Amino acid sequence: MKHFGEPIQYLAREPIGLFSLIFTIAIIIMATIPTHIAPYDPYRIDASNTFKPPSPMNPFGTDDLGRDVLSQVIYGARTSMIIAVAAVAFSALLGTILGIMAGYYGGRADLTVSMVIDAKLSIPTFFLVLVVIALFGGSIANMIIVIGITIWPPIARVVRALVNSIRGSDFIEAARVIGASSIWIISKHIVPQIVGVVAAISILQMGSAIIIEAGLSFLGFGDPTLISRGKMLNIAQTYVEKAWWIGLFPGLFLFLTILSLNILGDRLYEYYNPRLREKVSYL
Amino acid sequence: MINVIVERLPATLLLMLTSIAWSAILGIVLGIRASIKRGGAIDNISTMLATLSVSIPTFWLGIVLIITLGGMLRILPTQGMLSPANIGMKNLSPAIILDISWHLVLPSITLGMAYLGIYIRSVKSLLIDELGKDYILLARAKGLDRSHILWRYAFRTASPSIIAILGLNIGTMLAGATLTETVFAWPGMGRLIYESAIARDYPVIHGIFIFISITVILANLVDDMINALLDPRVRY
Repeated sequence: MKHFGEPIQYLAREPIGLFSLIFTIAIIIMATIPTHIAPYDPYRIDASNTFKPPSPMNPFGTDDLGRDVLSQVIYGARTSMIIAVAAVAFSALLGTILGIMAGYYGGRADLTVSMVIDAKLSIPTFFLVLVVIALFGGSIANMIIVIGITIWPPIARVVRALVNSIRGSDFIEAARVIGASSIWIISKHIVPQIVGVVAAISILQMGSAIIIEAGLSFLGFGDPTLISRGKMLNIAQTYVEKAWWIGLFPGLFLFLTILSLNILGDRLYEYYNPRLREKVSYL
Repeated sequence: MINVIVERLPATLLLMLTSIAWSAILGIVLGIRASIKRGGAIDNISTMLATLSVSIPTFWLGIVLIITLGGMLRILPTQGMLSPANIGMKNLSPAIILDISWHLVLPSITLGMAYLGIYIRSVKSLLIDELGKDYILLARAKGLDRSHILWRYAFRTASPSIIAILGLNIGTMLAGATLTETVFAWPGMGRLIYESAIARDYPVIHGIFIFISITVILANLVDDMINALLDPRVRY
């Protein structure tokens, strides 16, 4: 495992990567200290200030209850990031453990895990999440658990394939010859090699987790006590003819957040798979 | 109960097929162009388009299209499948068909956009894998025409996998249409999922669940059959 700085340098080398990095950091800051950044209290209802178009007072305008859209967008970052980080941490852990089991032990463990992945693939993720949330309610804990449980298969697949190819290496055989246990080999030889790729896919998965949460809130199944960009878009849809700014800005920030995460994830994946860049073409 | 699902099916199928058609064709064309000239202008544009496409929340894209093309410019209809005057008409006269296609434009742009990136990326990576193989080098050494090599050799070999990707996405699209259909009030199955989830109509949700799973399995089966037809190595 190379030290931490090198992948960051790789990400920052191109303008798009640098922009994504800066935007992601900005979103993380918004998510951690929204009270210091937001100009107004996002929950404050002001009946005399409804549907104000963007102005110096309210740069993104106000919504149907006179709440400041910019402040809501900033607080919305928190909801997105909590869901993304928690759900992805959960799914990365689950996916890595199952992927290692399938890839390292093979045989029956591999069959079982592969079967579960295939079964999961036959049910579209968003539909599954929607049904479960509709049945059990959209509290933030429920959303984290359901999203975490539904998005692990891609991680498990990649980990399984990686572990499978590492398992055959000579140094693993050598370690086994000198009497290393499976646990030792996995933790000292295999995990350090797959951490980077798992991190890259996890960042990509954070993008999907944010999209799923926003979609749920947009349909009205999210946590009613939280400020979510998806929920703002739900309100925006009702007033789409009257007040375009309620729809444009929250979605734009949602989009840019997901875009930056996807670009970072792609770049990081490329960094840990140098072969991707060096593929030959004879045509 | 079956009736409830079946009567929503035509609208969803229409939307799905239109979206698949334009996004798959554009995706395949861009994917091929990008893989031929890596690092070229088309490669850069299509890579960017693919990243945008997988990052943009469909429902927001829908809202933006409604705001701009539907609201400000008033070019295209934004809600439903028919103009108010035509609702209730059962027979398919040319005027009705035109009306439906006019209403179809924005929803199919929105839904297809979500899949365009997947098609571009997979076609590109499949073709790049193919173009790096030895038989392409041999074909070049023999002095064959480049476009001949591309279409008759590389694309042909990659085509079973490309079709597999199209088939795999049908299931996700059935459910993925939920958001698009909700934004545009399109009377299809995706909207039925939303309506029955809101109303906690469990029998209908179960029905759709089974229906989607069966569709995915059938799509995979058809996929395997086409694969067997296209790929002489596959035998069942």
